[in-house]
Amino acid sequence: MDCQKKSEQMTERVNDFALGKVSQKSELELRAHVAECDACREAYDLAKAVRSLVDRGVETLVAGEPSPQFMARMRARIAAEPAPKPWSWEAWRIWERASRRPLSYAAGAVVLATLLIVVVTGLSRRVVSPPAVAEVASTASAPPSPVTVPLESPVKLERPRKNLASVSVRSSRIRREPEVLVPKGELLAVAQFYEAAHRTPLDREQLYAAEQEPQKPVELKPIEIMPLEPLAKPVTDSDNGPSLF
Amino acid sequence: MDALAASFPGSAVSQDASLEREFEQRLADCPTLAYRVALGVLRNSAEAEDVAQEAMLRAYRNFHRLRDRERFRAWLVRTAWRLALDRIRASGRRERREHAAYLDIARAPGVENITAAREFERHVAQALDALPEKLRLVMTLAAIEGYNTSEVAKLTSLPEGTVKSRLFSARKKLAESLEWIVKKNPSR
Repeated sequence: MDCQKKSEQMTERVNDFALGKVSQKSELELRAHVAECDACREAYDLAKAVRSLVDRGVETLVAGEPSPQFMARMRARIAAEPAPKPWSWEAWRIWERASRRPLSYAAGAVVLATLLIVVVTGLSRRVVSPPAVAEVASTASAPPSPVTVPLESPVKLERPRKNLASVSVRSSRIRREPEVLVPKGELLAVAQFYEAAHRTPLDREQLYAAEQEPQKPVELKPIEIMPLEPLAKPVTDSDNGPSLF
Repeated sequence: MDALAASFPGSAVSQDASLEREFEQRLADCPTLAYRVALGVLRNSAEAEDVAQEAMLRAYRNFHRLRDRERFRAWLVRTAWRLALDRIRASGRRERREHAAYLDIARAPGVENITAAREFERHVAQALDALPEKLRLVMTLAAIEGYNTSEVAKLTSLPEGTVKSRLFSARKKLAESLEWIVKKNPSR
């Protein structure tokens, strides 16, 4: 060890050694060095003296015995303790039994809490909004595209069918609501049912206009099939890039 | 039930003769420990006695709740330490205590110059109070237990390595605070 070049580090190590922090390997090394090096021995002696002073000082602070009357006074205080009431003793026994099996009681509490959460969330989900009405378009040329009429609020069919459908998609993202598929021609009966149920007049003219709006036929495009060209040379493993194995 | 048990009507311990005897056995060697722990914080013998009695009283009330009776000493130390700290904080007497620290403590043997010794103790007390609580507890208990780290580990329920590490940190901080005393007076 070269304590001339690294004097600060060495002093730190010697101090730590004197204060009791050193590994077994370093202890032998440091002891040998302190025996040889005057500067480090001086630092070590100072640190040992400081440690001794510290230990002695703290010992002095906590030295002493309680007075001879200590035990007598303590017994008097204990004797003055009020006697426990019978009910509190029973309550204490229950609590003691519970505290002996903290895990099982904790598990029970968790199960109860889970059940409570399930029941509360189940009840809240039962509050369901009224169903939406949809009409089945029975045109042969196009697949059935239901017209969704949300009945949560009074029906307004001022927007074209396309916009209504998009509104329906957005709302379904928030909450999946039940839909009623109405066969074509029975929209009048559904409208009457809605008015009777909600006591709100429905704008029937716009509803009929939406029903009568012609469906756009689906445009079918023929698929262009390209013939396969024969390969110039047979495919080998090397053409497929490096093998994985 | 013996005369002692008959004089202890207060808690569940008094209703169980075996508990009563067990408590009495542990009671015999613990007052000094509780007193010294409290003294390490309060530096006043009357207050330290009061706190030690309060800690013992609590130990008596709750002895039957202690599952591992071998840890009674550790439990008592923790209670006495907490009660002493609470008393210091509640009364706000830290400053007064620092001034009175050297008036009420036992003196180290062989100290000739009492004034210098009191001054030295005051500096040590100030340096000890400035330590973080966990270091102060370990240092105080180590001083009580003759710097036996395994005993301190039992009392604090800490691994012995942690106790050694904390003891080293506490000593280092105290040494930094008190090194000037040794440099000023090399005879110490």
